[in-house]
Amino acid sequence: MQRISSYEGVAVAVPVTVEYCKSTEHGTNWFIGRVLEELLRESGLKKENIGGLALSSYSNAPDSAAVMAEHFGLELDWVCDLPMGGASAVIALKRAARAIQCGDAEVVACIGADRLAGKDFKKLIDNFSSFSRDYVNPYGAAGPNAVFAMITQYYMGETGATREDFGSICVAQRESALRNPISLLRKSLSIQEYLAAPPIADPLHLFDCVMPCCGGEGYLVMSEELAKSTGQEYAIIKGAMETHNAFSQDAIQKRGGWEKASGAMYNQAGLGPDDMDFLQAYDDYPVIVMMQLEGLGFCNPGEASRFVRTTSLAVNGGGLPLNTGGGQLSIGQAGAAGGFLGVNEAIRQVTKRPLGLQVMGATTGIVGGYGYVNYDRGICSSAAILQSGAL
Amino acid sequence: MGTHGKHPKFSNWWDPLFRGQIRLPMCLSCEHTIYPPRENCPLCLSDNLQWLINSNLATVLATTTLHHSFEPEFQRRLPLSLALLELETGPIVIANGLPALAPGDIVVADVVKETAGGFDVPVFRVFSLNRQSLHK
Repeated sequence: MQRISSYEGVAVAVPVTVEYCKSTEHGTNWFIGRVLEELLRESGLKKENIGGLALSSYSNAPDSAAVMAEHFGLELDWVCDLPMGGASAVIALKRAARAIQCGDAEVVACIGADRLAGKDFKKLIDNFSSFSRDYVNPYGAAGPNAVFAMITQYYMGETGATREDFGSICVAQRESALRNPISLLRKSLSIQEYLAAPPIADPLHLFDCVMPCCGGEGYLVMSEELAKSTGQEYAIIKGAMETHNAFSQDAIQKRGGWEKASGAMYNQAGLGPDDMDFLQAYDDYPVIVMMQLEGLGFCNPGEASRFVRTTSLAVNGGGLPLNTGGGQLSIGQAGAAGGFLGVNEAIRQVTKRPLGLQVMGATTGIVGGYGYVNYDRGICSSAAILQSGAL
Repeated sequence: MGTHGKHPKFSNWWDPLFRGQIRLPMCLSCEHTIYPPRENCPLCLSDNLQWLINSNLATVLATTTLHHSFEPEFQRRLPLSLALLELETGPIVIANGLPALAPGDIVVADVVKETAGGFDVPVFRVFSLNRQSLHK
């Protein structure tokens, strides 16, 4: 099995979240600027300490990470654009950690931000990729719902998963979201309400689909030495993985790339699924959460529905705490910031500073990333194991 | 149709559909049939490709009915039936299908020009046929 060098000496700190909203007068770059402002305020660092910027956004075109340096008066040594959708936030972590280890930058700001209000979302899906523009959209299948409806139907047929199983994920996450002040959806959700929701794209109904919104997320990556000397509470990266176009021979997506690479990640960490105190899964649709439960080793392939029937997903339910801040299905999906939500919640849980409920005794957890529906499936998968730096 | 289908690469696929043909690029080096179309073979990376008439036979992998669309021209056509199809030669195609289609159905692809809501829309439709009728 592939041996991956460790991320020793790297600290991940200062998770910040700004202004989740359904509509705004502000542009995407305003959200990026607000995240930067909060990163500096929370860390006590100065602008000149930021040497690198890793940026993921669907809506900041034609601008880019390098352009942001001029926008915000930064002089940078390192920039990285991350157009990998919901996999970007974990990949930002990987890229930034190597930059820190190699001395290419002293502090890297990793930011995901998007403005997807009103017509912005249609504009995004109109031209998301050449394949989707030319070979999906003409049939009325633009946007992720149609593809994930068919992936979900296939998964249900193959594994026996039911709408109640998907609903148990959505209901558990909503329960956690009730205590998270940033969540846009903070009304309790019963399984009856989940099942009775209007259909969007069969078998997907309203509460299976994330709500596009506007917002920004960010965190800082630096050396452990610097984190300690500047008084940051931080997490360390025990292992990480990414795959692109894994299992491309599967006629329809039945697994992400996690099944291919999570073994090497656990080896790198010297840990296994049983050591994880929580899972922050990428939850654009509940079927993708199920694929992470399987691919990240919490259960066997095809058995996630049985897992969710027999395991509590609540924050302190004695099972596997899942998306402890409510996840995108409750908080909203601010485009590329969606993947950052999971990374930030993982940092907050292991540094004991949650926005909502704390997983009691949590020191170690895993975060998944997934996305980029270029044609008929999400082609990018990622994951990272984060642990408290205070251990 | 808005701007859909205006791209020159796209018209190679779209225009023959109006004549009832499925034409796809085939790699002349490794005989791989390619969809969505592109200029290089994803198996052997050869750019020696030729658009050839393809089998109309396909298997339905999955279906959905859309009850929501972000696109005004399709909002008027809801509910809209879609299918994910595996062509006999391997490629995976997303297309409009008849509402009655179910996973596992063997179908043939055909194309009609549909008039709906006062505007003409080319629709790639999938018709259920039993194998007997194919041999008529």
